[in-house]
Amino acid sequence: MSTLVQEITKKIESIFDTLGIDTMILSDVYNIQYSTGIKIPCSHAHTDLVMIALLNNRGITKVILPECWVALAEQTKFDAKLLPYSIDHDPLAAANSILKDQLTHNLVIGSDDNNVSLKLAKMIAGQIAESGTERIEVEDSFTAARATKTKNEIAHIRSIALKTDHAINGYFHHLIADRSKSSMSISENLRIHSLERDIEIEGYNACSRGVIGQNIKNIWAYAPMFGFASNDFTDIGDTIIADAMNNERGYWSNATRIGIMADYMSDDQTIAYNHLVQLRKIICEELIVGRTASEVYHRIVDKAQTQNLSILKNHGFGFSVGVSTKEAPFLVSGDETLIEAEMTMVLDGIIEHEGLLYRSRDTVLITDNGHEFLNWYKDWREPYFALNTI
Amino acid sequence: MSRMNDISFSAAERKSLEKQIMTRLMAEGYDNVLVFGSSNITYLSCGLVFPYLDQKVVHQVAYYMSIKTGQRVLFCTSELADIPDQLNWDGEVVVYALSEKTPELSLASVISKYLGEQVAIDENYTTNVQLKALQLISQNTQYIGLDDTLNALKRIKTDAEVRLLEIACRMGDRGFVSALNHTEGAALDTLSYPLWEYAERFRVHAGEFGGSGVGNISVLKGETSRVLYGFCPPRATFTEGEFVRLEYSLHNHGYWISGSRTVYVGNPDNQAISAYKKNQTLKNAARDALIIGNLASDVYATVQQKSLEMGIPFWKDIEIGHGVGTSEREGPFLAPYDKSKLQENMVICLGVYTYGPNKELICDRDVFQLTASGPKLLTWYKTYDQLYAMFGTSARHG
Repeated sequence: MSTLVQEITKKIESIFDTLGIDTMILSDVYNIQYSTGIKIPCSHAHTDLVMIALLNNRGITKVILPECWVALAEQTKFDAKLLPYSIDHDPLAAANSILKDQLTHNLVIGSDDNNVSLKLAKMIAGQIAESGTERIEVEDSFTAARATKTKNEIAHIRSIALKTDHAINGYFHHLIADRSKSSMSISENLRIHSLERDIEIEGYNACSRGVIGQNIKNIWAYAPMFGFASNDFTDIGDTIIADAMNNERGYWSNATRIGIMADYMSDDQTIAYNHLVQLRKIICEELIVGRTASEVYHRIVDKAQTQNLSILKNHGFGFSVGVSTKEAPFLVSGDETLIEAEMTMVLDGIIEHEGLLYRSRDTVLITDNGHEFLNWYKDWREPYFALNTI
Repeated sequence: MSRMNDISFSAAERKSLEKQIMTRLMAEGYDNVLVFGSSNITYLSCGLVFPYLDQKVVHQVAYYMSIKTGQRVLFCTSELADIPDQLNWDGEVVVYALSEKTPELSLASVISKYLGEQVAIDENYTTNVQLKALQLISQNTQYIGLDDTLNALKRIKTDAEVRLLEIACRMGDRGFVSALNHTEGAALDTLSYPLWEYAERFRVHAGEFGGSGVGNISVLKGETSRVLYGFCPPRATFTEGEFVRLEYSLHNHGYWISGSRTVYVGNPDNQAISAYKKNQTLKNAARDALIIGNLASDVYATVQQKSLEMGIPFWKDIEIGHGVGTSEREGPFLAPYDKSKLQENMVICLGVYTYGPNKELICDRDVFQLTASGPKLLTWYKTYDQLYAMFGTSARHG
């Protein structure tokens, strides 16, 4: 059986062959992680520090990066030679200098610099121009490569998606309807229950949050404490919306589940939840290989309207998940990407009912025959019901 | 108003910052400004914060200001549209649907009607593909750079910004002290207190003390702490006689600080105590060089000099400090390459990485406001000038 590294290498070789390029310059941190394994969690926030991967068509990978990231890169890289720069020079200038030395004897260079800041893109474009080689954009090729997952990627995503659902369910298990919980406590416990399942501790977007009661009217409630929530407390019968984003071995999960602080639903909750289940069913029915994401979106909208489901205007019905928590393709009206087997999609269902937003996120693997749920620790056609008392 | 209890800008503070920004941008001759970077959005809007924008968990947000008319417009997708209202922000919000071929084209299509002949953009954040989308739709607009002006503005904090940062420092310190307190009950209970829990306790308590979000988290112990950041195995536990270092960042209403604290598990021996003292020697040298008028590189040179004089080696793979504000890491950088002059009301996060007996990296980072009378400590909640000994028993702390 192939390893993840072998599988990704094969995909990248295919990009080289298809585009007829000698060397690729990758500066998008997610593309770098995808192709080299190097994951620096703070790289999105430490934007002054530049990281660039150079891949050639003979399978040699080099990564330009600040010295302070070398050890972490060594821990996560597949097989790459690291070319660190010191703090003696401005990071952009230092990276530029190393890049210049590396760009020799190429005929055609591919670059994904459209995805990065103009400042960095200008530097890379300048070096390619100076080297006198032809430049080809590779962003679309990488987006396509990342959208369909290899066997090992699917195994990673399956593992983290299920663990995350397990973690949410694991915390819900502690809910007792007549013992009020703050949204902050729920958020904290969702995180703890994730970590208890051997999920790696991670900063930044490793987010868990519980949104409760009337605050579910906001998708991103409790601004700006999005990941901490607040000091509001549950009442008996409240809806809890639990979000959790977790990472394992470089791959993300992105899940949302509903718990009810009672062992039954109110009439309004029943209507809303049933509509959410119906919406999920429609998304699954329409998410078929060979359709464009846009076509899927419009078919879902039409069906939902026919069935009188109160969907949210202009909200997409899903997106891909992989080395980032949210990536293309997006199930939105403008995305013309063809849906293919081996895509892993997060289905993003939202129903608006009586001013509140009931949400659910399932992870599915698209297959030639339909789909497979990757994160159903339990059957989510029913929400989680808390014990009434104990 | 209580300086430390009101954790966000008051209306007056917001207006004051807004006035300072507008005055500077007007003086520099800008007509229109358009930014995409999360830190620039927070700064220019005087307080708007969106979830995990840098990490692309949500679709791109953009912020536009007309310097001439004062018009302020926020562009976002529907899922974020209520956030300005939640934050009591009173500008215009324009929602964009993902109806074009790419998200960038969708965003550009709603922005285009606001653009004049010339607009200044943040080239540090605006992506190439976003600019191309804008150019495709607004072909008569000229795009110029804004970064130098914006960076210069952002480096010098208003009193209110310092106040928010000082609160963030206290939140971080209280979060860290709480993590210690929890861990002290159970650090050596290897059955039930993993290393990750120490870091997680920090995150949880930073939130409980009012923090808005945590960014970086890395916990390293013993010989694995020879590196700046590293993987924390889910089953790793504490071992008596080792250094443990926590790296973190967090924000209060969009104002970020970062930190690093090193403690010792159990009774430190003389070697450990001596290693920590050496760290403090270099750190204090750096602190004393935080003088208005010095260059950022002077501070680094001071530490280098002290290192040579005292025979205390330090890790040179990273600068010894940097600015903080609406991002956890911004200029000036206390590194050989940065010739920025230190100015009053810069806020600097400072720490030197030195070595423990087993080459562990030891660091104790603090945040300072630069004032005419010297650096003012903002992380004053608890000092770590002595090596902190973290004891643990098997009695579980709840």
